[in-house]
Amino acid sequence: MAISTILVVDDVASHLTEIQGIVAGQGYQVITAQSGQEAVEKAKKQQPDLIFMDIVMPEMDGFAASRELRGTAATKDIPIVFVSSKDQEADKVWARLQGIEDYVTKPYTPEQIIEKINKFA
Amino acid sequence: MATIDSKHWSNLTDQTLQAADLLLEVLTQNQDTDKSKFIESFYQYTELWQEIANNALACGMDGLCDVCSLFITLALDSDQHEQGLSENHGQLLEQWLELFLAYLEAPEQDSTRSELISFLRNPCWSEPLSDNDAQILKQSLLPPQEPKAAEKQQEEVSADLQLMDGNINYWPILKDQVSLTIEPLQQLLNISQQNDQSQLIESFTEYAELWQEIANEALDFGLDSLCDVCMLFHATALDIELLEQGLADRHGKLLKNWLDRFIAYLETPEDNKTGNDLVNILQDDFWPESLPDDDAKMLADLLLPESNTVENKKISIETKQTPAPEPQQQEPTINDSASDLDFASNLEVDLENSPAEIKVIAPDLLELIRSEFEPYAESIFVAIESEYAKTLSPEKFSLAMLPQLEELEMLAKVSETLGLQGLQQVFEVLRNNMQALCTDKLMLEKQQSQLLTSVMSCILHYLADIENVARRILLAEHLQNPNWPIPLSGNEVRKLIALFGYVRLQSKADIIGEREIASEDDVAVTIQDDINPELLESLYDELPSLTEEFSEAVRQLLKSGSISDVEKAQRIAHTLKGSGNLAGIKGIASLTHNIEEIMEKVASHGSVPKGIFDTLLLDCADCLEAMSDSVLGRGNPPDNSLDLLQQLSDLSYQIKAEGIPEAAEELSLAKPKTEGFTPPGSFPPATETKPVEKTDKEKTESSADSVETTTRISSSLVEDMLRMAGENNILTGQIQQHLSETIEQNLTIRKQHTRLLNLITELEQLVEEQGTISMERVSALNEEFDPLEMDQYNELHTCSNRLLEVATDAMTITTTVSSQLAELKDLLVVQERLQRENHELVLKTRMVPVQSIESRLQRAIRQACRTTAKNVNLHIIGTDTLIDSDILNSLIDSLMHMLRNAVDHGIETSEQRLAAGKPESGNVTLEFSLRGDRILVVCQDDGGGLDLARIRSIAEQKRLISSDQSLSAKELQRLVLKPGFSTRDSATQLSGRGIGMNAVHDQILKLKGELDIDSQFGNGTRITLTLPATLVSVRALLVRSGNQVMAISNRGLEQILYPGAGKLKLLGNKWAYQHGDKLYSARKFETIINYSIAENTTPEGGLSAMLFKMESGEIKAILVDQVMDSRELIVKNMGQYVPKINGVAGATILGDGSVTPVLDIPELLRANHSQTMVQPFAQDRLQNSHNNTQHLRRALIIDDSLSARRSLAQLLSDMNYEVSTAIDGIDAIEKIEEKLPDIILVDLEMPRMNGLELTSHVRNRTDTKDVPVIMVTSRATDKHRQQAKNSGVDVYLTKPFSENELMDQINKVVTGNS
Repeated sequence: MAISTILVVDDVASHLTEIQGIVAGQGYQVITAQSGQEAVEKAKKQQPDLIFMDIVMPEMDGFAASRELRGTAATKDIPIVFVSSKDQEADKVWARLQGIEDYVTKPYTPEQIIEKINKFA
Repeated sequence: MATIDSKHWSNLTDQTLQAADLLLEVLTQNQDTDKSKFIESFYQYTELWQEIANNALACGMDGLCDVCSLFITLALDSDQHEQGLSENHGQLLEQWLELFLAYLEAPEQDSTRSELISFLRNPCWSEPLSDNDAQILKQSLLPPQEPKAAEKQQEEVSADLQLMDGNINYWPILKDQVSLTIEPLQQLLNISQQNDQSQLIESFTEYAELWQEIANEALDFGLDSLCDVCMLFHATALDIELLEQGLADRHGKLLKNWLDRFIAYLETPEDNKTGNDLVNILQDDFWPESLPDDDAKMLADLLLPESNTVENKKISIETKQTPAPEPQQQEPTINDSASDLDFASNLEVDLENSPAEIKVIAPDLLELIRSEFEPYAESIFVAIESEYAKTLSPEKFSLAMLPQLEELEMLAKVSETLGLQGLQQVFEVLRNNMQALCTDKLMLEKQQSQLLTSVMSCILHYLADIENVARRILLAEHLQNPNWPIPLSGNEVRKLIALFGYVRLQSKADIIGEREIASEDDVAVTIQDDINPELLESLYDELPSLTEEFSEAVRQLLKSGSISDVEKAQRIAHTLKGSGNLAGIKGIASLTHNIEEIMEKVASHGSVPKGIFDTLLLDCADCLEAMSDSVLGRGNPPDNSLDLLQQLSDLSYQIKAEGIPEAAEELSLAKPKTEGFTPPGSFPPATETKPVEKTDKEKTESSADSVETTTRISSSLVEDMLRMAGENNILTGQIQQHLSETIEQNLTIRKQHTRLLNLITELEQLVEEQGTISMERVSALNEEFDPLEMDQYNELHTCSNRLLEVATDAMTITTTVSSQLAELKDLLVVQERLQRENHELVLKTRMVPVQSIESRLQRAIRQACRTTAKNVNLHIIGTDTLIDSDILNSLIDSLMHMLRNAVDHGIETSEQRLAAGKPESGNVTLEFSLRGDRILVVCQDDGGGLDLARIRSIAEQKRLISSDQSLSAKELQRLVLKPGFSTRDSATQLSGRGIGMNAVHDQILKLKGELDIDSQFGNGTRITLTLPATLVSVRALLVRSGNQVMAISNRGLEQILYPGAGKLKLLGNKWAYQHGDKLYSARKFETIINYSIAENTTPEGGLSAMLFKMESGEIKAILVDQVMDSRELIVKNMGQYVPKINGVAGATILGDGSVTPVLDIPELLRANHSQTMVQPFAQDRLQNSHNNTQHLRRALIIDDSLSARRSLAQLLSDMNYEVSTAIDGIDAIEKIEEKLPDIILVDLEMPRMNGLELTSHVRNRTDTKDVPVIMVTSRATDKHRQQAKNSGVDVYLTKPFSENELMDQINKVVTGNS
């Protein structure tokens, strides 16, 4: 699948900046969202080709957002990669069980992010 | 394996006895025709056994649990018994009970176990236990006898080794299995007699397979070398090619020998001889390629169970990992197989394919997988069962099953994520097989569906205890079943079992880990260098708000104790951790990491145990805020961070090891090193509800503001911008001054032009007249000529006409220049305004709102409160006041000290406050406001106030004052600012070390500020700080003293009084200035800067007075000759080569380009007072003014010629005169009225009033009659000289004159005069 647009979700601006920089640096068009709710709305509207999603966010967390995305016909096939400093394996298992394609643990290197993008490209 | 607790064991027995009672009931009810009661108790009976199984599991008897479960499945299947029990069945149940009790009594006895197992192998069961399983189960029924505490933590490999230990006896099982080969061998030997080649081959192959199995078995038990030996035997002796001539006698004999020796070996493996004998067979000459001696010896050594050396371990890994070639292919390469034993060379290569290390997995994660897999397996079971019953066509059923495979795929992925390679393989194999089954539509074949069911229960069993070797083997071997469409090969199974070995359940020790010792490095707050600037920027934005949010969450949490608050704090800690890691700020990352862990545990605990955190969390919150400030360059890193991190990690360790402490009081007491804290709980943790709400509100406001994007620029750049803006201002000032001079000169030119035109008009008339006269004369002489014909006439007229024209042209140009100059002036005004705005904007970039330090101030109060166990609220007013960041940063330490002081010294304890009728909690108000260009900071507390009597006695004690010295209340209060003063008997940790207020005072003075203390005993203290809003520009007065213009900073300036506003009086030997009804001690400005020596000479009347307020509060009058202007000046420091000069704030460049010092009068006076003079300046001035009188001599120069005025003014100014100029007599008189000159230089011919007239005027005035007048003129006639002398001119000089001549004359008249 050709990837042109990538949605990046994180509630913390600096984290968002970091990953946004990496993704945009690869020439992809970046959409950002700062909450799970916003992510769901933007994903529905703008149909990104890949989503990088933080797990720990207030109100609607990454799990809830991805459940919502998976449950919606328009977004259910968009690959989601979780990005979180939750270095706990239980989260990875949950991510897998929810059908999340992949997982990057913070802190990450740009190469890791790029690798994930290429994986879905 | 865990120790068997005797308590558990007796529990089991009790339960079994219970079961006996219940069984009796069941059997009785079985007699009844009404089966409902029976079914109920049968159900109960089943449940009871379930319990027993669970109990067995709980005490570590996994095997027993398995056995019980199996029993339940086999014998207590309720579906079969709805119609009651058959008699046989009832007996069996009774029998089981007996066997079970017998087993419980003597579990270590072989017979009890065998009987229990054989019961399950009873063919009356639907699925009796298989031989293999029976052996394993039997073994697992053996209770561990020498429980070892460390066992659990040992790696799987060593667990394997332990299996070889005599204690855990697998030898009988092997022996059993080997003995199974006796019969087939006998058969084989019989067949070989019959000469039936095909049958021989068949039975030979079967026999070979048996040995293959034994080899596998040996491997499973960790007997790797035995496995090798078996494989070697398999390859050597069971090679089908040997059968070409039928089974040779020798061959048969060897096989038989082998079997005997093998059994002998199994009986006494520790006997070196048995192993040797076994290996010897492989060396027999009969074999095409017999075993070399060396290898044989090594193998024999390895067969000794004692030789479980490191090498042995390696070999086991090697053999497990190497997918050994299929035995059949192995035959011709027996040497290769032997060389496999050359493990050392193969080891590295093999390990590459194996997992790098043992994977430690948390039990809850396995449970997660299990809970995911269980319903899935269930659904598959149900589907198979139900669809089977419905006899749906196999095709349709397979189709229906296909989507179910996704789940397995996902589980494989999950396993992969967790690093469970074995499990991943299991799921993958299962998935592939199921897919194949679906495609082949074999799903519903009884064999396959049974296989499916059993493998799934094997997986569930395995997941329930992944360390159980038997379960691993069971599972792996299930996948080898030939009924699978794609079964695993023997090697794959071995590999899978090996992979299983690389997983270990997380033990408590794993979870707890080591108690970590925090190092300085862990609390570093430096940002890594290569961080992306954009990221840094947003980090700078976030950190303060995040830490503040965390602090708020912690306070909320301590107040409410609700889990949602814990989760909130956890989330923020998590985010902070992420940010910390992102920027490489270790301190933040490690602190928050520990906090997050603790919070997580607390959150899963379900409630916040009281007192568990005590002040630790608050301290951490404060510490994080301080770290954030430090990262932003707003302060030093907190010094308690290391201590806090250690406490946190200890707490985290403790919680992990012991769980959340219920009686948490102990914990808080055990908390190390919190410097003599009063016991916690004596004050409620949430002390600052009010200010907190406020900050909240402000935060939302500020976050609304923060939508505006910001750019971070380096402070040096701002500094440069500021400097440039300042330079520009100065330059504009200079241009302005030059412009106004030019305009003035242009005006003079115009005036001169007007005069020129007048002169030309005069000239024209004269020429006209002259022309007429000469014409008359000429015509008189010669009448032939017409006057018009006269060339002379023409030339003169033409010349004068041309002159007029040129003059008019010049006039026009001058007018144009005038208007252009006017325009230029307007433009310059605009430019000046823009520049001023620009300057202000640049200045603003340095301005930060007080809000930015608010959290630190609140923190200081909180810390002080905790240390002193007082309850104080801090109210900060005017948080949006903008203050130069440099000043604010230098101020913050002082402010914090004042706040701590207020809490420590000012606010009384709650009891004292209540007794004094004040509210229990104290209040400290910090108010920031701008007053003009000064910042006013008022710190007011409602505490006890300053005890003047105490201050006095202490000051006397410390010899700061003498006992007879009388001091005003104000002076007494100011004593606390003295170095070494402290009213506290003992210094507390917080304040009272006697350097505090003094240090604050010094800092304020350094900032060019003032500090004022006002206190009423019993009613609190009020400290007022007055500071400049910026240190870069200073509002200054330009004053003139003599011919020197100086800038005086307006610090402390109260009032400027112009000449005549007050009176000077001499009181004793000191001057005083009276203004209204107030009397101020007065000094002349010059005396302060040591400019003039004559302190006591009478100052002249026409002096301006400036009233300055000293730091002590006293107001002094400073007298200057003239206050010229008040303006904003860019003050620059004197550069590194000039040391700090007391009283000089810096230097500035004035509009005319001259450099002048900016003086700070209060400091100057203080310096004067303490006898440290402004020496460099004083000397400088002394050299400058060789004419040291009270004021400079003034010279008045009057000349209508600009050039003459200028050259004379220059000369006199060089002679250190104060020069004023006038263009004619009338103008001169005005100047004289303004200020009396000491000498007058005047031209003779001037318009309006000439020099002679002016001199007469001067001589006739009483105040000027003695002023020497020097006339400088081009008229050299005696007549003029005489007239000048008559009018009163002292010296008559004719132009051109030499400068020396003039100077001599001037000096002569001046000295002569005075």
